[in-house]
Amino acid sequence: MKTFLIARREALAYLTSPGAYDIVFVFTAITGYLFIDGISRPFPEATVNRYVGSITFSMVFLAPALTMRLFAEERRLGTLDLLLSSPVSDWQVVLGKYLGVLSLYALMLLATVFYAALLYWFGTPDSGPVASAYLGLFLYGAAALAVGLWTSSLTANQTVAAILGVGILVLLSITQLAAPATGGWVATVLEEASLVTRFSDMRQGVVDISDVVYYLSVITLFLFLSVRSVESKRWV
Amino acid sequence: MTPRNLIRTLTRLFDTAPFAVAAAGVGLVALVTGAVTSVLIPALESTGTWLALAGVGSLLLSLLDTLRRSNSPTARRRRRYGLNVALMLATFLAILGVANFLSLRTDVRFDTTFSQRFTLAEQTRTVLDDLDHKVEATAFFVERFEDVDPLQSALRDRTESLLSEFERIAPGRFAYRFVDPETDPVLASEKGVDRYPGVLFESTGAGARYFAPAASNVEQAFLTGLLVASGSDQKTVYVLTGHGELAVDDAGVTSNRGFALAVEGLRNDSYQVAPLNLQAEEAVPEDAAVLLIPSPMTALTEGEQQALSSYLKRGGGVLALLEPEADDSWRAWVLEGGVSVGDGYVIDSGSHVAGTPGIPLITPSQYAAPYITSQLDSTLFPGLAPVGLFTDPQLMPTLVDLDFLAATTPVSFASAQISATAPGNDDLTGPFLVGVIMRMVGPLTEPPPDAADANVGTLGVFGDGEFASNRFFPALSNGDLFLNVVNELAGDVPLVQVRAKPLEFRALVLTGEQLTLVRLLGWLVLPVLTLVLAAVAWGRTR
Repeated sequence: MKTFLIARREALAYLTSPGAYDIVFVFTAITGYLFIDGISRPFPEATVNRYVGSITFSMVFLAPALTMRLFAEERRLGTLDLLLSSPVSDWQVVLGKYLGVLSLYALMLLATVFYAALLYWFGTPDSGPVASAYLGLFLYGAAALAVGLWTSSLTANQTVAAILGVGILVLLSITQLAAPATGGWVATVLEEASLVTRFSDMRQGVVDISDVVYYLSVITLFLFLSVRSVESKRWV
Repeated sequence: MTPRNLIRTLTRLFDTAPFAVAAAGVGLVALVTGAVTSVLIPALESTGTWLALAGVGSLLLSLLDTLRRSNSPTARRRRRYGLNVALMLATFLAILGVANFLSLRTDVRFDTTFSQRFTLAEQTRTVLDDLDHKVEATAFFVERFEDVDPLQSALRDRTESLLSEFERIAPGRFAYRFVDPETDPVLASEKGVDRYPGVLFESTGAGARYFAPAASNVEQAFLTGLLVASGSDQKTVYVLTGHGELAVDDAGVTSNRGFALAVEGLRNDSYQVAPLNLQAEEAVPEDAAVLLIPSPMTALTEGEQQALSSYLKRGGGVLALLEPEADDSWRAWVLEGGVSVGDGYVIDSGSHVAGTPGIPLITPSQYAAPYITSQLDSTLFPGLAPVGLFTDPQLMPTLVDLDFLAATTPVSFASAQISATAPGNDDLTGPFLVGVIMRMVGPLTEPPPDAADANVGTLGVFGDGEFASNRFFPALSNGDLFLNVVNELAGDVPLVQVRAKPLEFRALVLTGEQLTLVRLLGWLVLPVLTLVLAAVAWGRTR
C-alpha cells in the first residue's frame, strides 16, 4: 500500500510538472515524425514496425531524462533523508518511485496507440504483431527506466545521473554490433545481452519467453542495485 | 575542465579520496579499452589483454587506497556492508544468469502473426533436426534495392528471420550470412550466383549445393535448399505420357490441358519430376516414389496395364486423375483396385461454383481424411466423374486400408449432360466420392499374397484431372489438395503448412487527401495535446 502511495505521489508530481510534459512532447514529436515518414514512403505497409523502432531509440535518451530527478533531486534538496527516516522500507521507496515513472511511460505508450488507430482506420494491420510490439516496447521502456532509476540513486547531480543512464543504455543497445568480430560464447553473450536484439522478435510479432525473462532480469537487477544504493545512504 | 577539476568534481560526487577516484577512473578506462581491443582486434589481442590487466591493477590500487584511508569504525562498518552487498549481488547475478540460460534453452515462443509466418512447419523442423552435415547458407541481397522497394525489404526481413530460426534449431549444423553482391561481387562470382535476391545452400560434408530464389514462399524454397544441400535423396515423381494426358511442358496459365504449374508445385515440394512413357519403357522405374496419371484419354494397352499393376504390387504409389471422358480401359484398371469411376458428370446443386452446378465446390465440411485435408480451404472440380467403391470393403480381401478424401452433397447426381439441372430417370444420385485412396496388397482379381511377399501399394483416384491443370491448380486450395495427396502417396508429411505461408504484405493504400489528413493528424494531435496539458500544468503550478 505504501508503495502505491509513493507511486501515486510520483505520478502526480510528473503530471503537474511542465518539465515532464517537455519530455512527453519530444517523445510524441519524434514518434509522430517517424510515423509520418513511414507512411509517406512509396508502397507503405500498414504496420507499426517502423515507428516502434524509433520509440526504443528515443527511450535511450528520454528514460534517463524522466528518471534523473527521482533520487538525485531528493538528495539535492535533502528530502531523501526525510523519506528514508519515515516508516517505509528501501524496497517500497524504490518500487514506489519506479511504478510512478512507469505509469507515466505507460501513458506515453498509450498515446502512441493513436498512430496504430490511424493504421486501422485506413488499412488492415496484422493485430498480433501490433500487440507484441507494444508488449516489447513496454518491457524495453521498463528496463530503460530501471537503469535510469539506478543512476539517479548514485548521485545528487541530475545531469550526471542522466548522462550515466544514457551511457549505460547506449552500451546495452550496441553490444550486438561487436558480436560479429568475436566468436563462440562471447559472440552469443554480446548478441543476447543487447536490449535492441531482444526487441527485434517482438517487433515482428514473435514473443519469445527468453526475451521476456531477459527484460524482467534487467528490471529486477537494476531495481536491486537501486535498493542497495539507497540502502548505502544509511551506512554513514 | 582540467584533470584536477574533474577529479575534484568526481571526488565530491562520489565522496572518495582523489587518488582513489583517479585510479578507479584510469583503471576502468584501461579495462574497457583493453577488453574491447583484445576482443575486436585480433592483431592487438595481447596488447589489449595487458591493458585490461593494468586496468584491473589500477582498480585494485583504488580499492586499497580507499581501505587504507578509512579505518574508522564507520568506515569498517561501511566495508562490512559493502562486502555483504557484493555477496548479495553475486548471488543475485548468478540467479538471473541461470534463469536466462534456462529460458534460452527452452523453446517457448508465441507467433502472433495472422499467417503464423514465423513458425516453422513440422517438416522443416524435422529436416533441421536430422541434418547430418553442416549446411552453410549465403543470402545474396542488394541493399540498394531494399531502400527503394519495401517488398524487397520485407523479403529480406522474412529471409533473415527464417535463417536465424534455422540456426537456432540446428546450432552448429546450420550457419548463414548476408552478402551484398554489389559490394562483394567477387564472392557472388566465385559462388556462381547471378540472380538476386536468393540464398545459396552449401554443404561441405555432402558436397552439394542449391540456390533457392527468395520468392514469395521463402520457407518452401529454403526447405528444398536444405534437403538438397544436406544430401537427402530427392524422391522422383514420374508423370505418365502417351495417352493424351495433361502436358507437363504446357505452361499456359489458362490452359486446362497444361500440367506445368502442378509440376512446379511438385518441384517446390522437393521432388524430382520426370515424364514416363510405358510404351517405350517396359516397367515403372525402381526409383519411382509416385506415378501420376493426369487425365489420360486414349486406351491403356495390356502391357502398360501389367506394368502398372506390377508397380503397385511392388509397393508403389499411383495417382490416377480420370476425367468422365477417359477411355473405359482406365476405368477397368482402377476397378481392379476396388474403385469405380462411373459415367457422366456430377451435377451438384447443393454446393457448386456460382451459376454452374456442373462444377462442384467442395467446402471444408465435405472433406474426410483430416491428415490430408485439415488445413485446406474449398476446392472445385470442373467436370467431375462420380467415384465410388466397386463393392463393400469387407469383400475386398487384398484391401488393407482406405481413405475417402471428399464427397459431394446428397442432392448431387450424375448426368450425361454437364448442363443438366435435374436428374433424369436413369441418372445415379449422390453423394459421390470426389477422390479415394486405397492401400492394397494386390488387385481384387487375385488372391492375397503370402504375408512375406506382400507389399502395400497405394492407389489414389480422383474423378477429375482438370482440377490440377494450369487453369484450376491455383484456384482456392486445388493445388494444395493435389500436392498433399502426392505427399501422402510418396510417404511424406503433407507439406501444406510449408506451402501455405506466402510473404504477407499488408499495403496501406491512401488517396492524396487521406495522406494529407493522416499527416496532419499524426503531426499535430499528440504534440499539440501535450503542449495544452503542459500549459495547464504550468498554469496550475503558478
